[in-house]
Amino acid sequence: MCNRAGGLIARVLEGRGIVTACLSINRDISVRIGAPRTVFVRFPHGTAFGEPHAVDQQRTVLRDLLWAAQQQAEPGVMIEPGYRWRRTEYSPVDSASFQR
Amino acid sequence: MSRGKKTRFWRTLGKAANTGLGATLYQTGGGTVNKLMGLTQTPDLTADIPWTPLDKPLAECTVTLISTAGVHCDDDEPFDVDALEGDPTYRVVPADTPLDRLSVTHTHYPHRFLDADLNVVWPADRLRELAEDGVLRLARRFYGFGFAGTLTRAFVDEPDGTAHRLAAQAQEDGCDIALVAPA
Repeated sequence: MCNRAGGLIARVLEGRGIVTACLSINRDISVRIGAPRTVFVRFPHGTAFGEPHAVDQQRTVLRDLLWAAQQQAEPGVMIEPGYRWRRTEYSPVDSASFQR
Repeated sequence: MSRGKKTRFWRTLGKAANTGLGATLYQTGGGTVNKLMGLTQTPDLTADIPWTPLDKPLAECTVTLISTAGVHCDDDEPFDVDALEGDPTYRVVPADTPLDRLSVTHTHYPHRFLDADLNVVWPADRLRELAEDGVLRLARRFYGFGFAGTLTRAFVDEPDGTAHRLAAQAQEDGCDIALVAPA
């Protein structure tokens, strides 16, 4: 449900000239609500950026969001990195890689 | 189901989700219920999606964080988790606020992960690291919503609605990018 509120807020900001990138844990709601850019991760409710103290994982999700913000794409773009909860291994994310 | 009943349903589910066994059950069953109920109540807005292209390098962009996870400063007013219609308000959180000075007021999802590390819903430490490395610039203010998930378009469509006020504050701070994160 939070994904719906986030999408609605993003739409307002985007309409006022602020680039938005939404993180989502509910793909169907995020598609329907029409957020400008969404990164969907299949993570549990309450931990959308990854596991506690998993710095590489949290940086990876943030990088994906910032990549989405830099994406030249159609409005409503949905990015699905396909991470698997507690099964994907994350490498350190170099600071230089955040710029697309 | 009436709105009052729906709210009571979510409140009960949320409280149950914050018990040990409840958290486990919630992640399997309650999450699915959440998805199905949420989808039926979500308007289809795909026909008209606003779009602003990013027109400068990331390192020159000012970035803010907006979360609907119920995060606010310790000394700020908590969100109203008993409001039948949901709580459309938000709290301004200075971007440099240490995580141990923040609270979470939200009863509708398990807190066991964020109790261990608030960065899982409010990645302020990670964002501050990126700013120190020159990857981006951080806005002066971040924004926390709580218990806004039951709200519909009303709180964003009004010209003086919550989201518009937030947008004005973000513009004052020169924000180029807003990262919007769920609970």
